[in-house]
Amino acid sequence: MKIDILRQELIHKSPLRAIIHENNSIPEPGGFGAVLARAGLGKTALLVQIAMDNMLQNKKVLHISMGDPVRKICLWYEEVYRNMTTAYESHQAGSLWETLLSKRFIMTFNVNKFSMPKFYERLADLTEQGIFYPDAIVFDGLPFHDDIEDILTELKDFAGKDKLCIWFTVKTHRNALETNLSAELLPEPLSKYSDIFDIALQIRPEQEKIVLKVIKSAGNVEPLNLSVLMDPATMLAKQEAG
Amino acid sequence: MKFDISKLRNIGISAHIDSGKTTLTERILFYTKRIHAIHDVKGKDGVGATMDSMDLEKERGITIASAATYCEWKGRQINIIDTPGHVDFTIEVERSLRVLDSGILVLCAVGGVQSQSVTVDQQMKRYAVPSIAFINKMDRNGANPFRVISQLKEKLGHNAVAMQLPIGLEADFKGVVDLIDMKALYYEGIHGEDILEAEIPDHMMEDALKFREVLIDAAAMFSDELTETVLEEKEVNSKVLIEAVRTGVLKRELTPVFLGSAYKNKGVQTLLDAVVRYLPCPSEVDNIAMACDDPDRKIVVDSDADKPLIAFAFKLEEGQYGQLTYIRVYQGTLKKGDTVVNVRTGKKNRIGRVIRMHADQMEDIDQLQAGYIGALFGVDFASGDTFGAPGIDLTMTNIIVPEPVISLAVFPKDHKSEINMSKALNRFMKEDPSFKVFVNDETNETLISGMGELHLDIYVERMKREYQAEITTGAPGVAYRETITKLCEFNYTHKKQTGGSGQYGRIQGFLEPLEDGEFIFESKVVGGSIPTQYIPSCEKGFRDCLKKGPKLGYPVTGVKAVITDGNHHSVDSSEMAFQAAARGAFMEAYPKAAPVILEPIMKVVVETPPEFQGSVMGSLNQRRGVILGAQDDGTFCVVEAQTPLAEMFGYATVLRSLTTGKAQFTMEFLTYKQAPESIVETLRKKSDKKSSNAA
Repeated sequence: MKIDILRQELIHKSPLRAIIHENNSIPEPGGFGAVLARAGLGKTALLVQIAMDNMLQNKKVLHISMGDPVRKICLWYEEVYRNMTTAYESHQAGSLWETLLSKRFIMTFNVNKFSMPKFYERLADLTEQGIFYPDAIVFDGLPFHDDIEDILTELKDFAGKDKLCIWFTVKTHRNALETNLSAELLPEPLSKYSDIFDIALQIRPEQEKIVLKVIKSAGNVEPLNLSVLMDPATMLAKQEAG
Repeated sequence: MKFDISKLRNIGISAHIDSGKTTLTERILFYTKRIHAIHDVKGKDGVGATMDSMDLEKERGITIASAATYCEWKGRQINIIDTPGHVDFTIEVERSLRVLDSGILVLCAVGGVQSQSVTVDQQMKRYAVPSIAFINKMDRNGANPFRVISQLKEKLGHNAVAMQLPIGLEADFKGVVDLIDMKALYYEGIHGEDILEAEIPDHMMEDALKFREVLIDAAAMFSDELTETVLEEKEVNSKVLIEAVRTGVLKRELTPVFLGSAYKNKGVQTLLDAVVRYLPCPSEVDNIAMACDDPDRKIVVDSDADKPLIAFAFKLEEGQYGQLTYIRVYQGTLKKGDTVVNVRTGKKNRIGRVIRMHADQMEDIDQLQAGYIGALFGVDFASGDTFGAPGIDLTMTNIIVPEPVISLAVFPKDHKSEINMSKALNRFMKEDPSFKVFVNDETNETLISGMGELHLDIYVERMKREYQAEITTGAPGVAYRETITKLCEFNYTHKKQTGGSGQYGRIQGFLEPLEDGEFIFESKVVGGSIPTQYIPSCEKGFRDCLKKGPKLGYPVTGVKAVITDGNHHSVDSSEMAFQAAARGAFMEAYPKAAPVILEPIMKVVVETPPEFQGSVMGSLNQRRGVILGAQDDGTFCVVEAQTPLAEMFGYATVLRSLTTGKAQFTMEFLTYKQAPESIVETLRKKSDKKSSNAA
């Protein structure tokens, strides 16, 4: 019972609520979301935070990563969770963590070894034996600078069929900061895929802070006016003070 | 014995199972002329490798106890500790790392960085052991050193840099290109003992120059002289480059990588050269001791041979001439005939025989100097003891001993076996702190407990072979625990006043869950409502209850008992009465504090060819495992899971048949977690049955 209260608190208080409303599935099932930033600003941390938010809402998340070992990704989750729950009783936080663990599955591939047939095969290993059915996928490190149009199209089809949403991290070039942002034209290297992404968030430095901007959004949220501060110490979105 | 500490290297060789460290050690001993014939681990001649001295090790082709051995290479003295590769013997690995100055991390050119390499690497980090890497089995199909190097960087976070390039790969592996001297080296002769230096083959020159650049770039971080040379675009001097790499290794910020195939007698001598060149001598590493009276006060021990003696016993072995104690001298000189004091017990010991070990042969010497590893006869030390000159009050860091997670009942067949078994158990316990023996009071069974199935299997086998104890074993048992999950108050009065002297004591307080740790007792009694002399009795009363939890009879952990108030009687109160009151209070509060059963959870890592990944995951899932993830490296997959130990018995056999023997797994203790209700129910039925049988 107490665990459920903690769970509700964590969902409710998440800084992501400013962007993604509770109980709203954003992106919609079958939709694509993107986290853009240049290297080192905390794409993976934010992606893990998004995944965690889904897990707290009882959705099963498949985390696909390119290159990183499973152990390292587990550490990301543990770190993010620890930062989220510092204010709470550790016994309860520990119990909730146990329940969350079964809602996550990590799959890692070598960057040059990823292919859709391989992905389907690996996923079938999980679903056919009833081990894991994902409700959402977070995809870290897909090389957007390469030609991945086929992979994206096929993933889009797959997401539509299986009614799950997929988040990607996209590494942008340093200069992408200066480009004029608009919802129609996403910064490089996402510009040519603008139409298939329903939501895009960009992490960028502004004056002395790091902020998270919504640069494209689905539905009723007005993009560009929404922003969340990022905590440079934890690389997590944080509540704006005052 | 020569006394130039700068010419001494204490090294360990650690790696994943079957990466070939024992074979490598064997070759090292051969080239340093300590042995004169090569016997392979699973060789057809039936002799086995020299370092695997126990029969059992020879039979199973694995190394169990780490034997210390001594050899000389080009005027330098090298002490080698051969460390066991299986996780069940982690305690041995940790103990050896404590006494080493540096290590060789052996990796398989095909398997790369495997799960055990990660564990070993973490242990090396914990003891800040500088290391070089050796990629072995370059002759095997699928060997790819560059993949292993990138894994070293990605998975272990090493700043790994190739020192050599392979000439040919797999069956064509002929030799290596040395990137420092820019020469090709071939290993000729029946046992590769003749090294042939030649020009780098033309087709490799371009790669060699490219990789040398990478090496210089990495090394330039550690040498201003080298950086200047590079900036001025001058020719790089080999000596400067070697010095820079060495500095990087000593700082643990650079890991030079060497290549070879120990089995095919290639690359071993160059590795020995590297040991001498890049790894530190004892005086170049800081050995930290703790003050006896204040463990937080850290003191760096000076490897000066003239200072008062400090030495550390790291391993015991019962040999045919009595107890053999492996030691390392950290400061001063240990001489035959010296009197030393065991810091832990304060007892004096006279040093009888000092010897140097070579697997299972030994040679007598007169003294051991700071930095050296040797062994003693006729002293009474336990492993982990520090000893030294009278007046020394320092202790070398204690080695962390993990709690056993699995137990097995052993039954001797007859009286003779029983005597032999108890002899064997006594010795094993002294040798290995992670192995424990106890007797179940109710069933009168002797239980042995340890770190895993294989760990116990080996000891059972050794009892049969070495001690001729005919024994049978029961089903393995899991070390369950009990704990409470919420705070509960108690107020208990123990009163007996029927004839004779009475007993009276009342205590009041609460039990609460304790995050980490087994048991804490706290007294907040003020105003003498319980007289001070009875407070320890209260603690003893609580502690008595922990051994056998009221829920299902498993040991209780994670409980904090606080007493806040109480009452006593000037005549009838006694220590006994307060002990009984504490027991009563515990029994009163415990059932209301929501007790639960905890079970050990193991971290299981399975390495399998990709085609079996599905069935491996299925098998783990069936065993109540939470699969954390799967990692695809192309040639093989790594599945990581957390699985209750209770479900893992016999998994080795299951895995073998599932994957036609192509997969392997490692398992180590992770944590205790609350057992699900269905399991608790089964345990309850079992314990009910047991008690009804006993009645």
